[in-house]
Amino acid sequence: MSNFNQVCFRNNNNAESWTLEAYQANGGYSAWRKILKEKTPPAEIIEQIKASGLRGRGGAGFSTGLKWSFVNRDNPTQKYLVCNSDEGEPGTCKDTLILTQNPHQLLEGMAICAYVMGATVAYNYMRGEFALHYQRCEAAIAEAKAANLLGENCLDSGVDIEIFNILGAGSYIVGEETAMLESLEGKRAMPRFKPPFPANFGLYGKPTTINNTETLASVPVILEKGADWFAKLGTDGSGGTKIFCVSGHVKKPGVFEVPMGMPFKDLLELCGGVRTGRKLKAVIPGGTSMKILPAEVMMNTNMDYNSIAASGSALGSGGVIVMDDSTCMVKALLHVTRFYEEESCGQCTPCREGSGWVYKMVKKMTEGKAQKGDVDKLYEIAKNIEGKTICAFGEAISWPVTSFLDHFREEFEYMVENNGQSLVEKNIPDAEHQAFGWHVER
Amino acid sequence: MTEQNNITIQINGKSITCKPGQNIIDVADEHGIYIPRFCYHKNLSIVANCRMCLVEVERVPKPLPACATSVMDGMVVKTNSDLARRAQKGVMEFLLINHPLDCPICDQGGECELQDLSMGYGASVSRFSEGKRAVADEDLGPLISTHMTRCIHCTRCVRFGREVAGEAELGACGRGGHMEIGTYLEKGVRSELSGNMIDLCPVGALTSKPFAYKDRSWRFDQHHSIAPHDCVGSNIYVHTVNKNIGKKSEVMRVLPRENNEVNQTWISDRDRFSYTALTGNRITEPMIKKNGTWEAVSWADAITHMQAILETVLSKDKNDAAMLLSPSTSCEEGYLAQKWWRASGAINIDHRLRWADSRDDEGYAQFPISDVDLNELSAAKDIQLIGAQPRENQPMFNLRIRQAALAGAKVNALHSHQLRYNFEINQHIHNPSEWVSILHGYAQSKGVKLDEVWASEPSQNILPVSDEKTIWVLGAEVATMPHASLIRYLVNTIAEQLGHRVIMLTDGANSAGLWLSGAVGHRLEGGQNAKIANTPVSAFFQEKKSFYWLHQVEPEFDSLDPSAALHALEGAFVVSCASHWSNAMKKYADLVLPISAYTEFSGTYINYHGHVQSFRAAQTPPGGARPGWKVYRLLGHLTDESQFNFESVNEVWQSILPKISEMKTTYQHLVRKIEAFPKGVMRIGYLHAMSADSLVRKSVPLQGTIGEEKITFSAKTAQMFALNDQVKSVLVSQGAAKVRFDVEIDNNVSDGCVVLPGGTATTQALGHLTGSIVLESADV
Repeated sequence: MSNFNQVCFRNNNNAESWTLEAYQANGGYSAWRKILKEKTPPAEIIEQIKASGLRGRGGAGFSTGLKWSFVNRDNPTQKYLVCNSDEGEPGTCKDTLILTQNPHQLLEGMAICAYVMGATVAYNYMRGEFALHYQRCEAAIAEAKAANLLGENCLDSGVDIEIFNILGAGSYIVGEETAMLESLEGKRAMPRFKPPFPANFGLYGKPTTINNTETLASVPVILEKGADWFAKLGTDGSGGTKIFCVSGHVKKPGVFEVPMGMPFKDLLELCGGVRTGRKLKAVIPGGTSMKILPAEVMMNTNMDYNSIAASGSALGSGGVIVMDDSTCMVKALLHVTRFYEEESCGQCTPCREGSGWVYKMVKKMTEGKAQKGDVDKLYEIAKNIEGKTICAFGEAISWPVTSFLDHFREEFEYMVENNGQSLVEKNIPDAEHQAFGWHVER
Repeated sequence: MTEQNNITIQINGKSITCKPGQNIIDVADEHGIYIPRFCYHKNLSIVANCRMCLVEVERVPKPLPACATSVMDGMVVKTNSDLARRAQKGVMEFLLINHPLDCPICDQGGECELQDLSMGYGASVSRFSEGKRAVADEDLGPLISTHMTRCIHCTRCVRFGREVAGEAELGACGRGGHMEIGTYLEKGVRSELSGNMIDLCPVGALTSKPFAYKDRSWRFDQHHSIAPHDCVGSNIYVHTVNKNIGKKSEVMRVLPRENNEVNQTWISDRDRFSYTALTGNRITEPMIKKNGTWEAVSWADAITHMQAILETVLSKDKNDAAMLLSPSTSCEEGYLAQKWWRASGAINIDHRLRWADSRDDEGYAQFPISDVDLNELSAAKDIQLIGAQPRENQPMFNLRIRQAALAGAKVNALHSHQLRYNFEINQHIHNPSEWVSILHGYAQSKGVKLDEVWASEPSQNILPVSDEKTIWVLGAEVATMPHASLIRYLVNTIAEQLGHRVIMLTDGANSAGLWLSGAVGHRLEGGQNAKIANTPVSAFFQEKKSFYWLHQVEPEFDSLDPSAALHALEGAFVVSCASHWSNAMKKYADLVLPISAYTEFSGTYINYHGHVQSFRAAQTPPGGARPGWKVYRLLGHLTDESQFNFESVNEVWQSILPKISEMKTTYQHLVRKIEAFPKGVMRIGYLHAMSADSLVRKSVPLQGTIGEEKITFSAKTAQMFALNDQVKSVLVSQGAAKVRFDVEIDNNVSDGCVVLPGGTATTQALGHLTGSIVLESADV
């Protein structure tokens, strides 16, 4: 299909795509060279990014152009750019491919963003497991610096930009932007209370912009091919392409960069459809912290910010988790809640205490120890977390629980009433559902 | 007030004018609207992590934390709306699910913020039927007891350590529900302010170890008092409980009393836990030693007997008796003591136990007062510490220097060895013999005019000069130096000519008050000249007297030269006024008069700045013991009854007050003669915070915080005694005695100095705290 891999993955099919040579052969660094040569006014670039309709790919979907405009370029103080490559959202594996296959495009995007905001130092914060990615990015920086595309006085333009790669220490919450700043400062990764926002008080208290890897990697292509071209790839309100990481009960799981607004059923087709003999049951469209949607809703939804929001969930990070009708929703939720129980930073009360409680309640249901009324209680407890916490982690615990209950309440009720017997698994041979490993060892 | 109150908000329908930038919780507090909270504390940073203070703000869909939300004009806040209440109750439920329901056996019970708030926001039945979290406890040392299962992770203790105490000892480990507060290193908490974490902890996770399981807060009587250990005069509450009718009430604990002029909301560990020394081993009646055995006598017999001996001694030579008072004696005690002492014909009296150089005694108008108050110190731009160890001996003072340093002040220190500070400081390490020439160099570089005799004196330019108005801080340890008056002369002259200011730190809680009460040889009350040729206090024991009067003083620990003191006391008639047997029943004492400890008398302390603070007794003294002022009143009646007709301690104070109503701060420069500094390797013999007075020396928990006793010197100093830098132990000789100590070689001690603190059982055989010292290897 011609509209595949046009932005972040445009280089990925080339041999040794991570090298400077391969990237430049594909037109790489032309936007950056042009900016350095012409001294393009930053305001112009911001306008182009705004016009492109690029929205933050990390999950929240905030307008990138608008975010860039928050940092006052003329403020004489040190400013920082941070690229959030701590890809930790369950079901998401898109940034990993940018970092390993196309690191130069990310660097170019970071350089442009840093130039726009007047930052001379930028950090690329990767999750701790990204060893190969780190090596590739380090090599890419070395190559770019040797070519004077980065470093001091880039291409004799008088622009200085230093980019550093940082490896995290393995926490999910460090992907929250202010927790990432804390971690960069050498502290425990715990989200900060906002306001003040990072644009005013960020890394080391200085104005800071934080963008997702995919967002920044999209920038060079936007500037190369024009905001209009990019905007038209997608839909109204969701410009460009989006990388979807489809996992779960599909025949061919994979990572796809496709235009925004692609109908879900087309995306499902790209993955070869649901496993043979099974029917689609539900989909989490944007990583586990987003709300789950039942099949009939998903099959009529397009994959862009506004359409998914209208259907009652969010595009999130693009981690599309597909579940077929053999899935026991209680056990699926057990998986999800266990993750959040483990990953809460522990800073604020509702999340620290609530994440564990929610997990324990779901676990009790699967063990057949739950009591009547526990389903309502579970719903209420999850609701008590939502909107009460310092960061969005509260929602990340709450939304899966409430949406699973909203759509599949009867499975929970059935399990509570039948001492842990799953409504779904009752009719499915053991061997079959064991193949999918809905078993939690603790 | 420069800022105007110029915005209006509404809280619960009440219209309130407030300043922009204030937090909702502060505005609500000012107007008596209570918002529940755990993590918020006005003197700590805001983290908004407990989420208990969630309130509804109109036009905002989510509830917002009142502690971290700034007010904006026209804001409509509801602290008890349905949304706010639901949020608060929800948070309370989360806080309670893992909190043990052990209030009946928890020391915090009855004064627990969680317990209190759960009455209003908690449900009567828990919906949590899963297993509760249990957390292993950590040993934080002899002062703080931990029950970490009760922790609600508000991080007040963590923030206190980082922000106030300047020592990040506690932190969080683990994530989510597995998060635990602890030190990780498991070496305990060593901050001199650690006890404040007990107050800060809203639950029973951190509680007082010495107070553990002693009693319940609701049974306590609360008394206002002043801490007796340093020249800052921290404000404290003394909590007492009367366990049996007719029995003496007991002090259960000491807590800080807020006073922003003095100690803010904190107190030092020494002030907090020294009460533990109050009980046990107390003297309850006057005792006299007859043929080597102690016999109880009546007060009347004791004092008539003693007065007769005193008068016999004085009739031969009025210079042959000396009185030493603890520098934490109250003004009233000091005043009556000197009045009686002088009425009896004696002239030698002093409270400056380790004052080595009296040559400038007449120079101070009244007493070494400083016009710099603590809040000004916090706002200082440039601070110069001379021979000071504020962190050790004036922790609350150190806290203010830290506040200044955090706000950007440049702090320099001139000292004999490097100290551990908890703020950024530039330490200049030099042998005390060089201090005079260093200050001289500073004076020269700033064009300060000195007496002509200084023209040929050496000078070295080491201290950085600043354009700011420097605040000079002379440590109490400077007074122990043989050339202290030269240092005082130089610093005061520099300050006077450059418009700088000086703070002189002193030992004890009331040195200033005792100067003003006339408890120094050369001065009567109010600074009047005594016009007598008395013995300087440093020679009280050098020139052996026939009669010594000791008021809460243990010369073998407290004096400049313990071995000389013990020697002098052996041949004399010694009266010891003391509260504890262990203080008094020394082989040198002949008569012991039982007096009140600091919680048992009313009185007045004056701090280094001239801040006058009176306090009332929190309990009665045991048995026949009496407050010091009553003892001296009784003695006064034996001399001239008309002069000692005081009905109450307040009357005593009223008779001092007119004489000190005007405190004069001038310093007249008297020292002209400059003599060479004593030769040889010098001992730096300050007193450790926990051996600084008779009370702390008896506090078992506080003694538990002291590390091993060691002697510290540089490798070069070791060479001076032909020791190598691998030496493990040495025999120290000062005078006749030789005492063995373990060695720590530390090149951050200036060469030619040996750091060996005094005030301990092992060091009492040794000589002068700043005298010369000889070392030889004791390694086998």
